[in-house]
Amino acid sequence: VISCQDADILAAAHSVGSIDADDETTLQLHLSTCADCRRAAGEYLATAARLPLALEPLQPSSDLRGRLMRAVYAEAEHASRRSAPARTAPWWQRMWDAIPRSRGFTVLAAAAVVVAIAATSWSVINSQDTPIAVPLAATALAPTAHGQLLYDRGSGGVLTVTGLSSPSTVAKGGGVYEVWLVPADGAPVPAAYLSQQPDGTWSAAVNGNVSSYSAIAATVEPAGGSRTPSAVRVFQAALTN
Amino acid sequence: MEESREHVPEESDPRTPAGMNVSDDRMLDLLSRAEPEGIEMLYDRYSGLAYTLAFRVLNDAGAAEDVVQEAFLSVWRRASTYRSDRGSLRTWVCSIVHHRALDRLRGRAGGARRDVALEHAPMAVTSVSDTWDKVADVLARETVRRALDQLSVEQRETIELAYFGGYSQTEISDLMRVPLGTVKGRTRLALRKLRGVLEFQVAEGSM
Repeated sequence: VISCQDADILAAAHSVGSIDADDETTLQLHLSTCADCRRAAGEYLATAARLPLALEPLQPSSDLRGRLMRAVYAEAEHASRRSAPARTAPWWQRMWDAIPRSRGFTVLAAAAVVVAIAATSWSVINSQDTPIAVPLAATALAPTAHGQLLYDRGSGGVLTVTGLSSPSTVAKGGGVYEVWLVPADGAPVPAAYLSQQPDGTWSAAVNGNVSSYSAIAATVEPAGGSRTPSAVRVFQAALTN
Repeated sequence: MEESREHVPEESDPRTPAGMNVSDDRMLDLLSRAEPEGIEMLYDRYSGLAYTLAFRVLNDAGAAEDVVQEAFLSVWRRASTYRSDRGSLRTWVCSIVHHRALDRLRGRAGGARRDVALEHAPMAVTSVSDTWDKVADVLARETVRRALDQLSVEQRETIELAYFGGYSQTEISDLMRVPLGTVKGRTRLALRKLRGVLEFQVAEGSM
């Protein structure tokens, strides 16, 4: 327990980042119970925050803004997916969303992908409708790409592709392979990102009613993805309605 | 298709930064609704100040940019915790940048610290986009420098070692060869004096 006078001294040190570790704990304990000292600490912080104004101004590189905003938009997209009502998402989509793609594939995540794909395949095989397997047509940018989209009518599906190298080797500035569903009329809709599994295969769970679209395609996009596809297509396929 | 995605903008036109003429309230409103435009505007408003601070502490352009990016991402993630009664957005952003820069500085092997006086900080090409912004920046800089000039040499050195050098109170005590209590007292008095001078100058209309 310290007095308000002692807390004031520590709050000043805290505001310039020089408070010693033991004192920091003591200060925070005091601030948690003393509104006057919290106010004083805030005033010290506000004063300290003016110190950088005395410096000759510098500017970060122009790239930084783009890097930051790509990360922000990627997180916003991820958050919107997670906040969607669980009962509206198919089980394989929920499993897919649980995979920590940003940190690379862990063994568990890789296993989840295998299970997701296997389970979707099982679902397709055991559904009353005839399962649909659409082979992908590679473009000149990725001539060795080979794979298929497996899906049910009225539901989503799973895309698996082999023979793809990393996006950055296919196109300058490439960060991800983004998958698009193309309607008969209208703009392509972003559907998923391809993720690489330990065996080198690329795969993605494709959300939505796949059979309501005319085609599927993948492009190389900057990290974080894009709202509209670039011209850099790596494969495509017409869909059977 | 149930989901829709926001567009990731291309590099924006530096002549029209999004946040330059937007109020803090507007940015806060967007941030509280997790709208990416909010952080975009905040970045346009404060990225220069944030980078200036991070570079001053770290003396490394790459590390400073990393700190700035981490700090703005942190603001984006923690926007709902911001309370305007505890300080302005500028104070919040600067505090986050400062703490992250000090963390990185202290994490370095050997602690490559700098002790350059404020007015000798390195110059760089600026891209301040608007004449009035430039005027406002110059006025703010001169105001804070005048306030710093009101401090004693010892007080000013103590503040610089702490805020920009990343030294703890105990380390400053060793460096300046004065008792720890003296360092604590100087820090407190210096900040109180700065606050008083700045408030007076603002009241006089110079900031």
